[in-house]
Amino acid sequence: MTDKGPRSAGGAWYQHLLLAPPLVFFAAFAVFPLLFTLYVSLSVWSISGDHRFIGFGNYAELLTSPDFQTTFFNTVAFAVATVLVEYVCGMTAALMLYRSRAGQGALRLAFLLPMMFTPVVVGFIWRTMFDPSYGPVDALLRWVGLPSVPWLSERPWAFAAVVIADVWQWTPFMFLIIYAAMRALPTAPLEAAVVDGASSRQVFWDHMMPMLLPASLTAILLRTIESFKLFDVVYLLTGGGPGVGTATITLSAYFTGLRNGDLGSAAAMTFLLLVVVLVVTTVLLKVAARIGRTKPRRRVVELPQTSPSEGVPA
Amino acid sequence: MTAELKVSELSVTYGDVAAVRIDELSLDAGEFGVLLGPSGAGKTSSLKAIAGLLPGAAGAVHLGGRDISRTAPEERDIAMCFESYALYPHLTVRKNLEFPLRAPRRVRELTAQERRRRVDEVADVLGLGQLLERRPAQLSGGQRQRVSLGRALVRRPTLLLLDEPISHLDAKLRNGMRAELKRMQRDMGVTTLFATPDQGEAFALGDRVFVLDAGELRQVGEPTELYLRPSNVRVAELLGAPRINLVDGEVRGQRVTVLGLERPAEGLRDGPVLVGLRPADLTVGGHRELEAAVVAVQPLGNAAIVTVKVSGQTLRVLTQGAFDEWQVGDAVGLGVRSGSLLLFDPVTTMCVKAGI
Amino acid sequence: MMSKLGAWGRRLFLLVWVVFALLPAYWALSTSFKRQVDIYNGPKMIPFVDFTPTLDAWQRLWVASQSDFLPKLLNSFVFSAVSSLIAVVLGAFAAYGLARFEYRYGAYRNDDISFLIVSQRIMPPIVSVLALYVVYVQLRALDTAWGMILAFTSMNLPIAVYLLRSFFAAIPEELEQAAALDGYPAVLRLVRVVFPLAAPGLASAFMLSFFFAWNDFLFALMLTFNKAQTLPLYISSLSAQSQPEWALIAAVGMIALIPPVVVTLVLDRYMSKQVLVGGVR
Repeated sequence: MTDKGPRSAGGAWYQHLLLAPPLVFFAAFAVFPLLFTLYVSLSVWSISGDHRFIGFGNYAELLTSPDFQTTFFNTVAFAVATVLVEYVCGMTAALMLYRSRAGQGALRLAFLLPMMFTPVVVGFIWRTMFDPSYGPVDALLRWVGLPSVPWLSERPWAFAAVVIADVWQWTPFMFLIIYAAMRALPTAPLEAAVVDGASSRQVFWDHMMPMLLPASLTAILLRTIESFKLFDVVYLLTGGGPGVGTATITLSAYFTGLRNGDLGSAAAMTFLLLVVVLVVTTVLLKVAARIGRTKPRRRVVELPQTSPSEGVPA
Repeated sequence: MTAELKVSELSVTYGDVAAVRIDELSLDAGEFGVLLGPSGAGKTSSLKAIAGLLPGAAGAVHLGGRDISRTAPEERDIAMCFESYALYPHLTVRKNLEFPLRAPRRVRELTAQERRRRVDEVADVLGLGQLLERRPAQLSGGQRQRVSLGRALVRRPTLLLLDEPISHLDAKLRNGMRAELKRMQRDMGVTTLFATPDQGEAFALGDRVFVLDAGELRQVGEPTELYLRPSNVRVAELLGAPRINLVDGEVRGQRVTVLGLERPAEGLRDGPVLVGLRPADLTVGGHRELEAAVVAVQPLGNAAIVTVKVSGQTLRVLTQGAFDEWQVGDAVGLGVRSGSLLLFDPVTTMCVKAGI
Repeated sequence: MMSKLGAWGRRLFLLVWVVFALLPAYWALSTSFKRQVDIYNGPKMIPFVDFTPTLDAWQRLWVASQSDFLPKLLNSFVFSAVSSLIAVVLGAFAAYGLARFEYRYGAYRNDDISFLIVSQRIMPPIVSVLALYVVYVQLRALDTAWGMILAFTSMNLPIAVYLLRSFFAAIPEELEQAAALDGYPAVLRLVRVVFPLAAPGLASAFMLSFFFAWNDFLFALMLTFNKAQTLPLYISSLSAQSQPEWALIAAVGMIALIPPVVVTLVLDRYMSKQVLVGGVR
């Protein structure tokens, strides 16, 4: 005999007061800026404050601008490339460490280290790493006998450089979540499969992978959302160059809005970015929900940060 | 300090479901009341409603003549032991016991020294002296239960509510705690309402027993009175162990016939009737009124529950003495103590006659 | 069961990945001990062999006439700490409400409300920060401490609410009812019972918030220009010079690494503590 569920908050004013601060912040720092940005995006709005409503002019201009098309492509391509590479690497690292008997503690912390660097510092590190005259990457290539590469000055290479820097910093995040999920897996079915003579490859694909799916989706979702915000590393590593060759929408919006003073165009850019993010996030959430429905037996593996203290005997 | 409790028109609803409806529940000052009911009957909800913990509760609660229906729980001066113990896991036993004494409304009444002494006293009585610096996680179930009891008693409440406080202890501990509880309650003279599904506890502790079933009070009275004159089938079933036998009977011409046995039943209309036979009022062996066959024997040590079959009806019989006297398949005689029959209306389940 | 080849492949992968993870970190660390000439004369990796380590950069950081490091460090620290504190306190109350009471705002129930709040984090910050810039100009909040603290709080409040809700939901309500009967009014029940039990959650929320605020670049870039600048902006301004003083940047980067490392290590240990054991049967 216990009380069923939470109490209704129909009456007491203080119960509503509890929610007030986040909702006020949400209104002031999300809803209002969103609507305001929408309005700005429909205007010619100079950073000096002069503005005039023009409708969809900014959008029309952007969609036909080759520079914006490149920026848009970059943003999506960075998201796809980084999330994909980070997921594969994070999963592999987690699996290799999971199977390794020794060194789990120390290696785990070593793997996590890049995540702790301030993104701006990551930009600095890789800018010097990739420097053609004094960076170790080119020196290494020369030492192996490969030609030197114009890492930061030519498009495909600069693009790769940004991806590498992002992969370096954020694969640990994927690794963290997937590794935690792996350690939470029930060992009995895996051992049973091994006893039944399954190869380690079969054990992974047939038994572990399905159970790791929810955690994988969580990690992919969170990283995808973040990857669309990509800014600081690019800002320091390439500055968006060569030209707009590695510029993201966030970076372009910053330059267009604050450096060139054209807030209207900048706002329109960010709005298009928001549309992309919302579409992608919705699709991923739908996929996650579907997987959640079709696999009722699966263990829910939570983010390690979000799991509360366990061990409350009911 | 101690005061009478009067609860009227109490109701608890969860959503649209009414969990508890109690018309009236009263306890005299210093009385030990037992709220007896099966799990799910609404005992916990009733106690919490009296304590003021359920926003979905309505009704009037008077304590010592004062209407506390609209008083916040922290101002009601009611203490409660929760079934889950609800100890504060981040505090030591001493801090747990001291917690009520440090509440804003009491903190000025006592000096730190007095607080210490009160805690030591209670800890002494409950045998917690050695455990004061431990945390709840380091205690056994019985120890936790005693801490929870101590936390309720340390502040000498006007009303003490106990929610199945000893039903989760092992049998030996339970018997000891029962006696201890009764003694402490008497010494302190605190009005107490004790919820339990265990009829044995109701007999052992209750000055007055309230039988709660499906959220409603079925009967109120002293335990023996409830045992001898249950007002309906549910009460008869809830008091007395092993459980009462219920068999079909027939009233005809002021007499009742059951299992081929006939007893006078003045004042009853002709028709079917439900007859209650307490296992303890039945005897097997020797030459008796009825012929029965032993179906099963469940030894209890100094007694046994012998299940027999009579005229196609199965009956539980509580026999005294050695259990190896009876074998399955034996044909035995069955005796029914005179004045022990309870007759119920099969439709309303109300008791229509007792003690024939 | 694993083949020898597989085992060696695994070791090789782990080795390569460790080198990949640690080499850039080592590069940053070693750079902070180099002189400008050693940096610009090709990659030097091994101290005392390749180059002579010097504490020059580390020493110059603390001299006010030679660097702006200290005020920026202070800014970063104060903004992060204060905003995280506000976010955790406000977030805790809201999360408690969402865990304990049933809300219904139109079609929005508890789950919808918490998703709504956390959805703010899905929105790329550039969307709101342009508008905030315009508003901050009007409010004279640009380049002020309170402006930055507000912005960081808005960034962290959703996380705090989301994270703490599950912590509060795990605390049995009967503990609060017990505290009520023990004579504690609602606010004290929170302070004396609920918050102490949610301490690991509160600490985690605080540290994660600190981590995000500490690493922020975009808000600081848009909303500050001088006296309210933070460490990341300082680093960025140093690297914008024609011959950047990489040693200085590296040293600042190493110092900036300290809070996140502490956060990670503490969270790693603290999260596994089981605080609630023993309270209820």
